[in-house]
Amino acid sequence: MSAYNQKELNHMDEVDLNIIKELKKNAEKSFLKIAKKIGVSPKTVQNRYKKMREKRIIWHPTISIDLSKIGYEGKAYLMITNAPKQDAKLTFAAFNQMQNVIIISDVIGDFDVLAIALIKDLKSFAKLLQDIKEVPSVEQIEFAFVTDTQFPVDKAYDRLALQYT
Amino acid sequence: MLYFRVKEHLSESSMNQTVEIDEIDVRILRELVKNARKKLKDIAKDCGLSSNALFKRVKRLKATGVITGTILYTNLELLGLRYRATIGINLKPDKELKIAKLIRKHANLIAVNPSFGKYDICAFVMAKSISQLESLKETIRKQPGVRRIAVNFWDITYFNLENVGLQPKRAESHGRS
Repeated sequence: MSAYNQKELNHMDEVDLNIIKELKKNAEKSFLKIAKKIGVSPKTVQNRYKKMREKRIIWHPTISIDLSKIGYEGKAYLMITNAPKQDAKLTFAAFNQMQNVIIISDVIGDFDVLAIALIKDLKSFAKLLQDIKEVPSVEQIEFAFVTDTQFPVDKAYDRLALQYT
Repeated sequence: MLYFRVKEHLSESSMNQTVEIDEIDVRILRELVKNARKKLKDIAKDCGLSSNALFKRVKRLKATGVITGTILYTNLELLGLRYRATIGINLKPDKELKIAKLIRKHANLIAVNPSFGKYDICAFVMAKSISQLESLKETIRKQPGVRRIAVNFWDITYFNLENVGLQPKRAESHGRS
């Protein structure tokens, strides 16, 4: 988790932060418009963007979708306890293949793995639970169901980062 | 009585507002999920559409509220938000709104939602330090009606956004499969 540190942060200057800020407001914004807004050349914006993606400061610009408009009912937080003596990587590998599981995380706390799955209806949820139970490294599943249908996350994610740029 | 109210609520909030999308819309959404900055011109080419036709489709997806905006995933650690955690809370009945409001006010919040299953509220927060999370936890714990609160730290996380199952959706009919 901590491949990055304060030193790397110091390598980011005002221009980098301003580019992130503009893209957090709207990830589709053209480099030309960003350049005008922050007072540098479009070429600079383009180069900095490329560099920040290479250095994994910027991971991924994506669109957000309201999944309720296309037939989804919510998300499930699946909390998995791994079976003892089984390779935990098996759980990850299995989740990687499952449709509608969009986030998988190692967790330090009450359980071992958290997966966030998009849920269309009860039938598809039951199917997903069944698939998970068949993974040999899974000992126990608990879940909490939320009716949030924003994909991939709430816009609050970007707003929060804006407070820190 | 309650039964009818629940039914009404469901039909208002989701069922009547679904939007019809076809195979091409699905393809466009997939491309934009992969990269929101992909040039529409290039997507048009991949889908075998004219730029104008593609532009119209994207415009419709936005106008109907299917596409709600963009998200820029970044390494928030570099901005000083080093910790990610989920907070699960169990409450006495009817306290959800009050507690959700409190979390909104005090946390570096990504999302807070009432839920059912293991927890009554699920929140997803970021924090600068463990002590910041600890103090948030204490603030919540002191609220009347809070029975249990679980904080779980996220370590290595994978975002598999392309796993989203996007499928064509026809006009709403009575039998939802």
